[in-house]
Formats: sequence, structure tokens, C-alpha cells
Amino acid sequence: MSERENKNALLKSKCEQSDQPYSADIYNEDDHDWWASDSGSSTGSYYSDTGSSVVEWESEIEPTGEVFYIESTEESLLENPTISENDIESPQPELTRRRSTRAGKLFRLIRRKESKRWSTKNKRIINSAATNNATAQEKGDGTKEVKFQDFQAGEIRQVTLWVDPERRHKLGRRATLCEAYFGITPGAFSDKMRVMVAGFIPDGEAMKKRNIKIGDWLRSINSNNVTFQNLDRILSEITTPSNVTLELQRVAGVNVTAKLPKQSILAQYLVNKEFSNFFMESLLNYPLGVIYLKTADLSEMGQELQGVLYTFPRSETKNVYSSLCTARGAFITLNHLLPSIVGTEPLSTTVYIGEEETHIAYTSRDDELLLIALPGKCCTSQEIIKITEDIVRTLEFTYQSLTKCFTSVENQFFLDHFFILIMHRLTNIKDSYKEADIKKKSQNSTESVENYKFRSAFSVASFIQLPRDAQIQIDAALSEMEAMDYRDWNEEPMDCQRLYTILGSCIYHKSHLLGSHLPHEDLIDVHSFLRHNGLLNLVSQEQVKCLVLWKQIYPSSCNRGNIDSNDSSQLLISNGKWFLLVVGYGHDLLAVLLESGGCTAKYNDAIGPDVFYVEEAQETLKHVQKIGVTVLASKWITSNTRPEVIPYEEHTTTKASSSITENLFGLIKSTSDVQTVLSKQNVNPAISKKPQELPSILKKRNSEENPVILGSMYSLQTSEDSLSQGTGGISEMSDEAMPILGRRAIREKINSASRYSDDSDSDIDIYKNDSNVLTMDISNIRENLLNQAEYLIPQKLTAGDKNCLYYYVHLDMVEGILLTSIPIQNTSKDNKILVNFNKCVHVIHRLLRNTVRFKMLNQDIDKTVINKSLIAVKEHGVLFEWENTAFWVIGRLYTSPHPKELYVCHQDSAPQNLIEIAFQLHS
Amino acid sequence: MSAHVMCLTSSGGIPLFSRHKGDSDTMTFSKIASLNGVHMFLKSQDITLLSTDLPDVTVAWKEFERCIILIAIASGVTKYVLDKFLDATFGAMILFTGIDEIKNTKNIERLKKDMRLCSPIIDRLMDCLDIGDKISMKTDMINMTECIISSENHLLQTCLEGFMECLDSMYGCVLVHGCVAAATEGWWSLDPVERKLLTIGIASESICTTRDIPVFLPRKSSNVAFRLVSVTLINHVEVLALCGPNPELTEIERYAMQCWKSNMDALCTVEHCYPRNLPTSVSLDNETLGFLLANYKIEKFVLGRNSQCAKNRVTGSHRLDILRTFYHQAVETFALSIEHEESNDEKLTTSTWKFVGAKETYLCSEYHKCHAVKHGDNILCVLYTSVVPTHTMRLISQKILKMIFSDKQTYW
Repeated sequence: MSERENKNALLKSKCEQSDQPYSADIYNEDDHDWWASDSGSSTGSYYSDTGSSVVEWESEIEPTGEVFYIESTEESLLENPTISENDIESPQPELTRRRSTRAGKLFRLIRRKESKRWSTKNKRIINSAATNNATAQEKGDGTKEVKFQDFQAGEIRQVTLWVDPERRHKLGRRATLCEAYFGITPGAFSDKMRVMVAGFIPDGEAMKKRNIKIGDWLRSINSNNVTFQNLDRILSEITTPSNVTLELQRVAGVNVTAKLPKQSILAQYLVNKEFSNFFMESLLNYPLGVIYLKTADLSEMGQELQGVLYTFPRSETKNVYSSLCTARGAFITLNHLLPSIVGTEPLSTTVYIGEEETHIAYTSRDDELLLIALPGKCCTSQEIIKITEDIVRTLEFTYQSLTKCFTSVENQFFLDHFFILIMHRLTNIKDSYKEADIKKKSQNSTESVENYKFRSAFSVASFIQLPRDAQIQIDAALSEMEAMDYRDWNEEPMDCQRLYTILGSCIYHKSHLLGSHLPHEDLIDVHSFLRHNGLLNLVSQEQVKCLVLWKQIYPSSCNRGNIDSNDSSQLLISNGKWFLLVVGYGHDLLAVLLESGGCTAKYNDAIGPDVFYVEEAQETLKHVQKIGVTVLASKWITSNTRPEVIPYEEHTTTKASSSITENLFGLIKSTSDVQTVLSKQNVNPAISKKPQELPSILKKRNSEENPVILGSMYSLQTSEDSLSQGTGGISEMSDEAMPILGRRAIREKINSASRYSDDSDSDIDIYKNDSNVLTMDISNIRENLLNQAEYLIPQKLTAGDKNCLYYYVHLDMVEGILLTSIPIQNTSKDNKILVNFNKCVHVIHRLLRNTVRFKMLNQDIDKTVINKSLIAVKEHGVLFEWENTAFWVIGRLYTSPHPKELYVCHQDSAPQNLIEIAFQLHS
Repeated sequence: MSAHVMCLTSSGGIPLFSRHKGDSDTMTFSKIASLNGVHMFLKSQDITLLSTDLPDVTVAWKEFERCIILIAIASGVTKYVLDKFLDATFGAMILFTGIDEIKNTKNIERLKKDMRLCSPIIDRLMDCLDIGDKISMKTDMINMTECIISSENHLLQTCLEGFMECLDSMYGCVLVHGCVAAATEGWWSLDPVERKLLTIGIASESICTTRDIPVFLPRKSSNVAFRLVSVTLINHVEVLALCGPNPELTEIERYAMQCWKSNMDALCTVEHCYPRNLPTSVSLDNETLGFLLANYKIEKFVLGRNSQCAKNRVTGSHRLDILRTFYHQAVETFALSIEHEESNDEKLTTSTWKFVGAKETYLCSEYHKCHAVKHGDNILCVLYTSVVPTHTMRLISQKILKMIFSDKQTYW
């Protein structure tokens, strides 16, 4: 494939840049013959490395410097609903080996200096210059735009070309021999053997011959049969200027199709903002809406839309507004009036618009008020409050404050689109324009809407806990990127200042969080952003070939960029700017939070993302894929082992067998069980908690949360009523009690516990020894990880012979993390139970929340109006019985170290003491 | 920790009355008017304002008969309870005045005066709201009739039926400390709001041995008044009857003497059941602090505490409050779903999700545990001490259920 070759060319250029000794030890494992073949030192084609993507997304940089670029894979373009497992196992396009070369790093660093130099000038110009310089890179597109039907029968022609080996470097060092000699850009047919004429180099030899056509099969050169593999070798044998005879065969049924759109329908839906108006108008008929209002300085005789800063939906043509907009006065009054009566601000109002129940949620900011209305069909009044909170969080994350968000006219366009995405997903209203899109999604829509709603309502990311080895790999990869410690890769001291500091990053597979190095509040922000902008939905539905998003944002860990001079505890750099970089590839997403300011170089406005950082992120992502984490994760997700749940149908008429004797018997057995299980589990919490204990060393920011809770709730009350007491709490404590010495210390701790490294200082060594060790290990690591995937041992949360767990949710709203089992099938009954479960969780959550709120109060207990009977609730369960299935939904609250909630859905037949274990395992 | 209820005329926005309970100030006219104004404005936009949620506080609006607007503000109650409260409050307004007078009144001042009559009843209704204070003397539930179970209930039932025959009426009941010990079938066919209002109406009158009050029944007969007659049989035990113009009150007293004279012992036994509210044959374990047995279909309940266990732990009435809170907050959501499921109301099922097939539910807090189990149309909620393991609660609850329902003597 041409892309592969492209990469080879790239690697080649990298090696040339570096000195021989470096590259030798890296590439001796690869015996490509091009290695010996050239020694040029042209620097012509720096700008085009990892395929065509860089150039592609760079053309999408908006004047504000923001980027939102999605390129879908061919599979998703053809609208074949892809089956994820197969896709992942099929060989992915060749990845560059990020860790493979320090030369590569150096190379990029140099290039980065260049790019810094450019930034003062207009980047576009240079880009186009660069592309002209090396037209060769265009071929990456060529294969995509031109599609050939592949038949072997066709007219065979012989063409003679004059080849002068001396001129081979005319096109720059990166050009392949075929390009240099013939002016033909080679490509491969689908069998990956036969060479196709994929394109011409301007002014090349082939261009002058009329009977060479794009799409022809290059059969032989000087009667040597040519394959894609031996093409370079055959050409390199040409050493003297001579006439070369090419045999070409016209492949029948050539059709050069029009340039295919690079984005699937789903992706277009996220990116294209033009189509939204039509849909928005159709929404006027529904009882929903969003308005942002000014509530002060309104005159009696104002015009119709006085004080309305933003309204959604609206019509461009007609003078029609949502009923929310016309009735806004009532809500302004309520928002103003109720605090004086009750003392607190209103959260939501329920009304009937016509016949339909509608909920309206309030968010007030000083003199301004945001109202969001949603039909009662799609959410309860309790849910809308939380969903609104989540939406507001995303808006503030993106625009710093609601005022800035809604007052700027330029934002309206984006906001319309943003709300359309949300409404579309929440209400499931059919968009006639996107009929096909909906058809495709309809099978799992109930579940996805439900999931979306659930996660929005609780602002949590669903996290999957991969095996420890994989976790370490992910953490190592992310840390390496975040550290940006390039000293070792450079011989001379670096004289260029870094542009950004990386605050943290997190990585997703499909919609599941695999690892996060972000402070909790930022993780919640980033996750809400990705969820509401549909990116998580996109990558879980289909593969992307390239996704780059760059946006200035205002993380809440940095107080949304507001510097509060009174608050000395906040170590905020002045003039700081923060950026979110999201790169995607396949089903994976990597989100990176960058900071400009403080020790970094001065930020120039609107230059767009720096290529270096984008590539750094892309390659980190590719590295993670390369070592097999992705494959492992997808197996993990589909394997139904973590924790293992059972389908609802499986249930037979097992009767509840909860006699006391049996329970007691079970108890004796189980306590010992718990201990062993927990001691094994001891390491796991350390990993999962790691992000929490990692305040960025560079920033020295105090990311302490809820010190009150940490301090006071330290007793082991959580397990007070559980039969197998204590163990869970103790293991937790010992983890917390460890002095935190920063990232290294923790990693060392993990590593010393891991069976891989017996020698204590191995961790540091790996770093010192740099990437070579890793390079050698990459295949090993991959193999290791994948082996683990092969032998996934189901983790049964309930003990006993029979598993009786249906569903499992671990809700940690402080960390913004949700651990959940993945439902196995998608029968309607499953969905019904899932919806039932979710609703039930809301009911339980509402009760448990009272306790948390009460504990937060501390001193002014007298003032609160929380029902006194509900202030100390810690567990709530409901037994359901339908269609021969009896199952419990139980929620339990853990207050130490910070409030966490755990929900399980299990068969009625499970003895109580075994359920206790289920709760213990993840507490 | 407070509750307010305000009443205004729909057309003019003239306040008819405003009651409050708890530790907050009375509503000023301007606030009442503003709250009403919002509702009125939205009505002009073809939007019906139902409720507004604040943290722990709910405000509800409801318009009745296109002439009266009731606004309630209460802390710590569910929307369902608040809605029922508004219904009951409007019922209380009708009880003494009749719907015609309210609808077609010419003289607002007179209507206001009439409304003063029902103030004691509305105050009692507000006591039913679970606002989390411990002031209320008695734990009552807004939407259900409080009952008492005793081994003598059968006997009382026969007596009552004889008595009602004399009065030529279908509607009658025996009240023990305000709890229904026995009632005719007709009485149970009354709307729960009517039952509630009648029992409260009797209790709120001054203490006297016989009463004869003209009442309008909000649902059954909101235009024509009935006679609500009560005769005190022994201390804290009285018999209630709804009857027409005949017979005379003295005659009724005579009938009562005839019917009940022979059963004085039984009446005394029933009276002694209070406040346990369960016959002695049903024994409660030491760990059970109290119980609540509710029939969500007929909307009646029995609330009792276990007098055996030490009184110093949680005070008796507070225990019952916990049970009531548990019922409203945790059980009712699921119980209501069952109702709707059976009524098969299409509109309801589409607009809001209903839980199907909930059988049991429990709640553990630091200080106590509650467990509820469904048995037919009945739900038994039991309050336990916090030392009882969760699975043991299930067993004990089942045991209590069995005792109550297997005993043929106890009449429920």
C-alpha cells in the first residue's frame, strides 16, 4: 500500500537526520533494502510525515485557531455497519513507531522549531509551498479518491521511458524510486501485490506518455515481473541512464468516482452546522427549548424579545418562538420571587404545555438566567436538573462563562448546533433530513439514549479497569507524553521554550474511559464536553481515520480561568490559556489538556494547534493501540467478565433460598474468602486511585477535595451493617495513608508490586535507558496483553457456584467515574430492565443524596429543611418481580474517603452474605 | 420545616385564606399575589403551571373548578403528597360551604367568613404533611384513612351494621381515637378525601357526646348536604354516620344505646388496643420498633408502635414519623406504579415511567432500618433497630405478615 511506503520514506528521512549509531540499533530488526540505498541529505519534505492527515486537518483551522476535523474510515463511509471485533483484529494501517527512535524525537523537535518560526508568518502559504515541494504525499489521497474495479482482463501496452538515475533526487529525498524515475506514483491493488498507477508526478516522464492511465496495472519493468514488494529493488538495479520498457495493462471497468466525502453521515452530523436550521425549525413544535435571559433593567414597554440573549429553537424565516420564550416572564418572576419566600433558588418547574408535561430547569448567574425545557416524556424533573448542570458545565468549560457564551453573536451558530445534538439524542425526535442516520442507529437507540441520559445526569464517565499491566502501559504512555521531557533525546541543550504544559490527559476506547491523568473536576468537564459534542458516540459507533479537535477551554481546576486574587490557596498563573486537544483514531480517543502561560513560551493568538503537540498526541494514541491495549479493551468490553453478569433470560425457577442457617453457613465461609480476595485486590485500588493522587507536579496545584469528608468520615461506618466487616475499609486506608511522593513514587510502588520487575529501581531504569528497551519490548508487551485477553477470567462479584448478578454500577461523582457491567444482549427485556434499573438508581440516589448533603452541612444543621428521617440513609434496595424474574436493585452509599455510590442488580436467590462481597470488592 | 397553603379566587385573585404551619412567617399579600400572577400569566399562554422544585421545598399550584386557586409551599414532601393535600384542602372548603356557594358567590366577604369554618380542618390536614418537624401530635397520612386492628373488629362490625340499619344509612364507622375500627362497605366506597375529611371534621369539633353537622361531600354530593352524626359510646370511642333528614338526633342516641349497650366490653378492649393498634395475638419482636400496614387500593392504613421495647431510644411518635417518611419517600413511588399498571392508563404510562412489579424495598440508615413488603394490595412497612441484619428483616416482616393475615379473628 502506498501509505506504507510513505511511512517507510518517512522513517528513512528520520534516520538520515540522525547519526548512524542511533538508527542502526533501531532498524536492524527491519531488513528493508532501502536502508542502504540512499545517503542524501535533502531536507525538502519535512512537513509531511505521518501520512496526509497533518495537512488535511491543518486546512481546517478556523480563524480563531480552533480545529474540528473528522475523517472517517472507508468502512463507515460505505455505511456497512461495521462489526467492531472484526475491525479491530484486521490489520490496521501501518503505524509509525513512536517509541522507536530518539532520532525521531529529535527530528520532530527540529521541525518544531521550524514550525515556531512559521507561526509568525502565514502558515497556509508555507503549507502550500510544502505540498508543492513534495507532491508525492498527495498520493495518500489518490488511493482514496480514485476507486478501481479490479478485473484482470484488459488491453496490455508496452511503454518505453527514458530513465536517468542521476536525477533521482530531483524530487526530494522522500520520493520513491518509482516516482523519481518514471514520474509514476505507485499504489497497490486490493491484493496488495500488483502495482497500480495511482498518480503522476507533474512534469514526470510518465505524464508525457498518453497511454499510461491512472489505474493501470504495472505488470513488468524490462520484462521483470513487478510486485509491490519488489518494485523498489527492481528499480534500484537501474544504475545507468537508459530506456526502460514498462508493460502496463488496462484494467477493465475503471471508474474514477467523484471524490468521496471523507466523513460518514454520523460524522457529518457532528461537524456540519449548516443543516441544523431545518431541524431546529421542526423542533418548534415540541415542548422544549433553551433560552438565556437578562433579568435586570427590563422596561415595561420593551419590544417583544426584550432581554432575550439567546433562544433555541427559533426560525430564521418566521417570527415564531418556543412557548418557553413567550412565557419567559413567568419563570423570571418565579426565579426572582421564590428566594424571598423560601430562601433558596428554584431548580425546576413542571408545567403542562397543551397536553404535554414539560420540565423547565433554572440556572441563574447574577442578573442572567438560563432556562432549559425538556418534555416529561424524555426525563423526569429530577433528571433535568442534573442534565442542565451537565450542559452548563460543558458550556462554561467551552466558553468560560454563560454570559460570554450566550452574548457573543458568533457563538450562536455553534450553540444551535450544540443544542441540536443534545436535543436530538435526548428526545429521539426524528430528523427528517437525517433519516438514514436514524435508521442505522435505531436498533440500539433505546439503550444509547438511556445511557447518554444516565451519564449526563450523573456527569460520570464509564471507566473500565483493564488488567494491571495494561493500566501501567497506558499510564506510562500518557505520563511520557505529559512529561514532555525531551532532554534525553537531544544532544545539545534545547534552546526553544515549550509552547504548552500538559496538565493531564485521558484516553477512551469507544465510549469507555481507559485511563485518566486529569484532575477529577477536569475529567468531568472533558468527559461532558466529549459526550455532548457527540464525539464519544461517534467513536463507539464507527471508526475514524483521523480526528483532530483543538479548542480553547476553561477547565474548572483552573477556576475557569478567572483569577481570584483573594484566594491565595489557588496557584493560578496569570494570563494562562488552556486548550483541549482531542485526537482520535479507530475507536479510540485521546484528550489532552494543555496550558499556555507560566513557564511556557508566549502564546500567539489564533495560530491553531502546534503540529508537534498534535502529532505527539496522535502517536501516543497509536502507541497505545500498538501495544494492544485497544484490542484488549474491546475484548474486555465484549467479554462480559468484568464483572460477569448473567442474561435475564437465563433465570430459571430458582427459588429464594435464604434461610437463616444457610446464610450463617455461607457467612463463615465467605469471611475468609473476602480476606483473600481483598488482599489480592490490594494493588488494584492503587491503580484506580492513582489519578486522584496525582496533582500535577509541575503546577503544584492544590487539588484537594472535600477535606472535611476526608478528615471526619474516616471511620469504617461503611461496613457497619455488613457481615464481613472491616477488611475493605482497612485496605483502603492503607492506600490512603501512603505518603504521596508524586508520580514516580506511585509508579514505583505499583511496579514493585507487579511481578514484572523484581529489581526495585527498574522503573527509573526503564526511563533512563529510554526507549530502546521499550522498543524491544513492544511486541512482547502486545503479546502479553493480548494473551491476557485470551484468557480473561470472569470476575464474579458474587460468590458461590452460580453467578446471580445482572447489573452493576459503581458511581463516583467526585471522581466522575462510573464502573459498570456491560449488558450482554440487546433484547427488549434487557432494555426494559436496564431502563428500570436506571430509573431505580435515580430514586435510590435521591435518597442517598440527602445523607451526603446533610454531612456537607456541618454547622448550620438547624437551618436545613432536609427531612430528619432521611439524613443518615446508607442503603436502599428494591425487589422487583416480573415475568418469572425476581431481582433486587440495591444502592449503597460509601462516605469514606469521599462519597461513592454502588448499585447492584442481582437475582433474588443470592444469599445476603454473598451480596456483601459484591459490595466489598469495589468499595 | 414549614408549610403554607393559600387560596385565591381564580377570576379576581382575591385571597380567601392563607394558613401556615412551622417556623416561618406568614405570607404577605404581595407574595401571594405574585405567585398567583405567575399562574395566571401562564394560563393566558395556554400553559398550566403545576409545581416548582427547590432544594427540599416544593411549591404547587392547582386550580379547582375554574374558580379557586390553591397554592401550597411545603418542605420535605413529595409532589404526590402535596397534590393530594391540595385536593383535600379544596375538599375541606366544600365540606361546610358547598360547591355552589364557592362557585357562584356574590359576596366575597361572606365566602371568606365561611372559609374560616374550615380552618381547623385545614390545619389538621397540614399536620399530615411530613415536613420533618416533631410538633405534630399524631402521625397521619393525607391520602389514607387511619385504622385500628383488634380482635373485636368482627363484633363491632356486626353491631355497626345493626345500628346503620336503624338509621337507614349506608355510611357509618366506629372511631377509636380517630382511627377507624369498623366501617360499613358504603363508608369504604367514599372517596379517601371524603373519609379523611369526615373523620377530621368530627375530631376538630369541640368535645361533646353527640354531634349533628350538615356536610357536603366533595365528590359524592357537593351540592346537597348530608347530616354527619356522631355519638360517643365510651371515652375516645364514637360512632359516625351519614344520614338524611330523619331520624332525629335524640332518636339516633336512643338507637345507639340499644345497639351498643351489650358490647361495652368489646369497645373497651378495642380502646385498649390503642396506641399499639394491633390485637394482642400478634406479637412483635423486640427489634421491631413500629409498623405501618397500608392498603393502597382502599387507601387505609394502620400505624402502630411496639410498646415492648425500650422507650428511650426513639420517641414513639418520631418512630411513626420515620415510617411515614419511609412510606412516602421510598415505598409510594413503587406502590403507585402498581396502581397505574392495573388501571392501564395509557396516558400515564407514556408520559412517565412506572416501576413494574416492585415487591419489597428496604432502607438502612445509621440509626434504624425500614423494610417494606407487598402482599396483595397491602404493603407492610416495619421499622427495625439498626442491629438487625438486612436479610433477617425480610424474615421478620414475612412473619408479621403471616400473623396478621392468617388470623381469622383480626379483621382488616
